[in-house]
Amino acid sequence: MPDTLLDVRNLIAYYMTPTAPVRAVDNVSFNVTEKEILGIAGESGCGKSTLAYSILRLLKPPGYIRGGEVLFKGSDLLKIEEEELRRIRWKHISYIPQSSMNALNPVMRIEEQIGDAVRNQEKISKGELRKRIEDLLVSVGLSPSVAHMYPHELSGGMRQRVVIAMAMALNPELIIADEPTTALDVVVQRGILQLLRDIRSKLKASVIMITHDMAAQAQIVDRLAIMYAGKIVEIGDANDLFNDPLHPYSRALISAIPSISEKKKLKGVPGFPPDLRSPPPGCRFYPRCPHRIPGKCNVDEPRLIEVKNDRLVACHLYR
Amino acid sequence: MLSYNRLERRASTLRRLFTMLFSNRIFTLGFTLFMTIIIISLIGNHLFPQEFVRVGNFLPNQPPNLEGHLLGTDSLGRDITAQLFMAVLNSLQIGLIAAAVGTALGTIVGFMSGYKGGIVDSILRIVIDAFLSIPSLIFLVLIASVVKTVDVWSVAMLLSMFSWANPARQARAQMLSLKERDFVYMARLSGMNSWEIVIKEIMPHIFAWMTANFTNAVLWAILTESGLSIMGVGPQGEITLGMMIYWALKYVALFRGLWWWWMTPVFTLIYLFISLYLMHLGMDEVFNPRLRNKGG
Amino acid sequence: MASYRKYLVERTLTFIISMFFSITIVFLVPRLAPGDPIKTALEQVIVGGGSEIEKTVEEYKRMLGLDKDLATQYIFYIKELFRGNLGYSIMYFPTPVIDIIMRAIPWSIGLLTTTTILSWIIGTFIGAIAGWRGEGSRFFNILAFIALGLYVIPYYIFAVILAYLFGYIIRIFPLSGGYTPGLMPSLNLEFILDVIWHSTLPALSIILSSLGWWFLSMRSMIINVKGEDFILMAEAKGLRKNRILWKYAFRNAILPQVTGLALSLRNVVGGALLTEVIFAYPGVGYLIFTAITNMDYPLIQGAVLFLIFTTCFLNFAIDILYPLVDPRIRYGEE
Repeated sequence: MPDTLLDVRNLIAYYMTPTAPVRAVDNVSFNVTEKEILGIAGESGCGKSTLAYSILRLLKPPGYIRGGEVLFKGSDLLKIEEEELRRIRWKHISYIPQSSMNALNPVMRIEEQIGDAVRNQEKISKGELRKRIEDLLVSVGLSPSVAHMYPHELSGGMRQRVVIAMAMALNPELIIADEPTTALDVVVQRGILQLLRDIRSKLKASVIMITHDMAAQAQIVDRLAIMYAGKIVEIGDANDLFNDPLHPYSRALISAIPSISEKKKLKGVPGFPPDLRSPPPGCRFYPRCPHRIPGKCNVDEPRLIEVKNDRLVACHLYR
Repeated sequence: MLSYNRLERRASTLRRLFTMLFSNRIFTLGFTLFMTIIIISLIGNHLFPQEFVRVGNFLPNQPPNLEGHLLGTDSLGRDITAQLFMAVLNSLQIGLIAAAVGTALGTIVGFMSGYKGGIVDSILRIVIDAFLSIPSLIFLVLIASVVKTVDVWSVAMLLSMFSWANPARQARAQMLSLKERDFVYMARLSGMNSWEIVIKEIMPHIFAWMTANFTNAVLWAILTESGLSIMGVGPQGEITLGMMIYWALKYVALFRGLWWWWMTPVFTLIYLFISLYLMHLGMDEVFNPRLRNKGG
Repeated sequence: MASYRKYLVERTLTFIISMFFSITIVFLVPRLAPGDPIKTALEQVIVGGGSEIEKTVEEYKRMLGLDKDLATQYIFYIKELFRGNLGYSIMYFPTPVIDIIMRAIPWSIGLLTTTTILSWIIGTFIGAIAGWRGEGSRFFNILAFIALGLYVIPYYIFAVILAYLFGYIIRIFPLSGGYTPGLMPSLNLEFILDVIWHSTLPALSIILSSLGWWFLSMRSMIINVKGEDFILMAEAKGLRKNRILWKYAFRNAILPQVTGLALSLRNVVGGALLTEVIFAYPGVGYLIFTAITNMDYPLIQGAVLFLIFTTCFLNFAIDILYPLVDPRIRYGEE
């Protein structure tokens, strides 16, 4: 039985607005075990990025963490001291941000930026560092000469690879990738996804892949969590989930994946996500759900319960 | 019928602008400070008889006292308080005239340049830039040293030589961006010639930005006038804030302990500048709403 | 690069027109003014009257070419300008104006370059810290408020106040001159220290007046950069806050600030006229002031023209060089 690496319990994160707080992450719980790739999927604005920032305690005002625990190897990341958190950052948990375009410092060379992260946590000689950076760059499919370049000299795909290389630099146990393939063309996307899969086998690290791109999720994740309106509505083994999605929202999402092979009717999900400042009582998917039960679904909020083997669903259709 | 509608429209736009301005705290603060000193000076100037500022009228070098001279007298036997009121009004007059002439002239030139384009624009643009690059104070010092300026109007006219350049540059930039907008085409379709279009259709929309320019110009004019005066080429026949400082420096008030003589104009200048700048800052906030919250 | 060539032509034309306009006005104005300024000026300077004055006036006029008609005078004037001849001073007759100016220039440039650079350094560094740490801190907000005050107040007022505080109330610093009268100007330590001692108050007043602007601009630059993604990334990497400030935020925010410094150098000769006047500091500003007091018109014209030339030229040089060195072009902004 693999060990639990990350255990998120009842995480709550809000954004303060002049009118009412936006409940971007509303009581979210899940865990990540060693050497697994967990996917977190959902529409834009459902709280995925907020979740990523919250785990790393990088959420900036007007965002605030309002409650819950993020247990990493025993310690609660939300409660430990600044110093201890800094030592955990990057060495144990690293991050691949949403827009790699802007994640790199425009006035520093690549080798300086990667070197920064490494030297912050380890004592390492200049020669060793140079070798490590070169190896990292090669392992993500880049030429070692990239090390001397500035970010603006590289293409979007190359920058994304640099950011991944940087994330791997200290051999962390967990890497959180936030929309790693958005804004890249399909060919480059494939390469990136391959890289992420390799991270699991080569580094023996776990990956949380956050993306709305269901096709990307389908390609590499072991387990999948579906988020809707700040809550997790379904979570379980990826293959099972794709073959047999239980929650109505999951079904809609998965059937929305276009396929070249089969002639499928392209079904979108009609309607809009709820206003997270004042979400309706009961299930948040109620207005858009084709199987809604009036009187039940719009009154009681469904809880995440284990319906099958290792499959948790939050829906009144399942008891 | 048409002109009545236009007047109405313009009146309601103005009313809207005024409400916006005065709901801004910074602007209102600046405006209040500014009007306070203006009103005090107007009243004071009216109350104090002319002879209070005549040379030799009083005992010289009197420090401020509560029975006689509230702000003392200077080495020439003139009452400082009376001088102050006169100085504020004169300096302000110079500032307002120079700024008004400059803004009006500059705006028209800038608009024409931006609107006409082509060779006219190229020539005018180079002229505007030329005037912007010449150091105004130095140039004006030369002219003023030969053409002895004696009164408010001559100084104001002198300052107008340079006060038009910045408004012209801004006006041109505004015009260039406005030229593309629809209502210009509409006006052209209705058969108005370029002058009419410039003045009647476009100007009302730029009122906001013109007022900001105007405030800047007033600040610059008062600053330059005081600079000219301290250099010794100010309006010798008048009392302005700059001239007060000039006389104080000339009679070494700084080092003879006559602190009331130089502190009065200096602190009044600071007060005026702060109030004008606050107004400008407030106007900036209202007319250029920034999308991020106030970081500075 | 075609647009740059067009830009170059424009800037050159602007420079030429500025100079042409200035030279013409400088030439015309004294000659068109009523009265005979030469005669009045000479009468001030030469003791004894009558025929002596008449002869000197005529001699002077002939030397200056003032006995010819306006057009010939004008051409003569421009020719002389190109030879670097700005005429002869009345006060220090027969010293050429250009020599007097050259004696005063080093003082002005020395004062202004050191103060500009010093106030830039101080303002930029404190502004960076204020922008980075300061948004909640009351201390830094008060600092920003003070900086705003410094920025708004006209620069010569600092000169007046400092002269009063440290020249009169607490008498430490000397109140006038560039060096103690009688001391021989030379490059030994004693003289240099004396010069520094005398320039402390003027320098301090200029530094104070420009400090506010550098502080505020750097502060707002850092506040802007703080919101960028790569700063968040640096934090995610577990780097210390200080390191993020200096290596990530500062390095990015400094670029426009350096540009600002380069642009401000255009005022390096004529930027502190009034400060010099208040402290009787022997720079070009004080020179013009004394010339005005003594009605030495050739000196006034020559000094003013010289200042106008240097300022316009610096403007011109900065305008054409700056686009070539712009880091944004170098760093390839898309």
